[in-house]
Amino acid sequence: MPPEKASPSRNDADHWVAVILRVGAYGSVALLLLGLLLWAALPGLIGIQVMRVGVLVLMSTPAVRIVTLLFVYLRARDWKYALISFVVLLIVLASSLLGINL
Amino acid sequence: MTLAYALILVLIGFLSGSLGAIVGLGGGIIIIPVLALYFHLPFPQAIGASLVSVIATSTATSSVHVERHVTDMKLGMTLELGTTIGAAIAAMVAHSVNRKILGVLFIAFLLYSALSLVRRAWASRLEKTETEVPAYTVRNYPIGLAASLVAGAFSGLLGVGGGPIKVPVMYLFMGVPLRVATATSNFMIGVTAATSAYIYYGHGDIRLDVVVPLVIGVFSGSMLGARLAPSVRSVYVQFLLIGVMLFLAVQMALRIASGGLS
Repeated sequence: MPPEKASPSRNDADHWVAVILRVGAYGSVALLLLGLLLWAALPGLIGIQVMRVGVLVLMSTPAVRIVTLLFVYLRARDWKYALISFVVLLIVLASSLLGINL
Repeated sequence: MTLAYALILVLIGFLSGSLGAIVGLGGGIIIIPVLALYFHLPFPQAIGASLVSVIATSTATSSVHVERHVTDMKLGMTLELGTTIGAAIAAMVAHSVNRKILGVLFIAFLLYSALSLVRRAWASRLEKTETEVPAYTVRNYPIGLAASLVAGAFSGLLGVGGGPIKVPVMYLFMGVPLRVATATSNFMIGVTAATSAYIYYGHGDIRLDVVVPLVIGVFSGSMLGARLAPSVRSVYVQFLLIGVMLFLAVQMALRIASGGLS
């Protein structure tokens, strides 16, 4: 056991969250660069659309991170933090629905 | 927006991202006044662009912190209850708040952040760099949640990450070691900024032509800054940033006084 009071799920959680964050960050920036190239090389809207997807991927990565932790806590039967993650997810989803409907 | 503008935006993102990562400050506090003052973006569009950059910085750098096990994700998730509610409400209200009031609030936050950097620069004379994270027990959750609500509201209203509010509260009142507090605050910022970014997106305040070059710059800058951070004497960078922040605060005050902030 590590010296600090780690719950059994901590290392598992750390690993998966790090993966999700990395994929979201590098993936979205790659999409932005690709979109920029397409925009410069091709006529039409395809480049802009790819960039838009890149920005949306970036903006949704934090929400995906919450879902990841929710599953990690559920699997570890850590109901308290599963519930907290679920409530945070609800707030974030409510905000995104509000944004879409503006 | 022309190519030259886009390149300048990449550069601005790169500088604020790298310098911010070295001293542990998100780039938003620099990006917003620069966009509002020199690119003449309406304040909400500057905030929208900053929110997306802040998500990029937080996501990129916290993947590293999480892997090194310095982020307290349970604490982060709990405090996100506060930051997300604060951010959502503030982002909804922001559109109907008078721009002049927003500007003045922003200047106040800018000065407060500069002050907290001064304090940190002063404290870091004596401080030994912590290598091991000491054992700790988190206490005073109510205070933490209240501070998180305020930090979230500032984030939704002004487009900043709110680190200078959360980190001292976690460190001083909740018994969290400074390194863990910084990493955890950074971890929360992505979710907080995303919550308000959705609403700014809905209002059409997230402009691709501004956001794309900015995010590319901020992302590469913060990756470089995070790598350089251990080997750079951060005191010099702290003083540089304090100077920049004070300059921007004065410029913003002058702009507001002349009625030019849109």
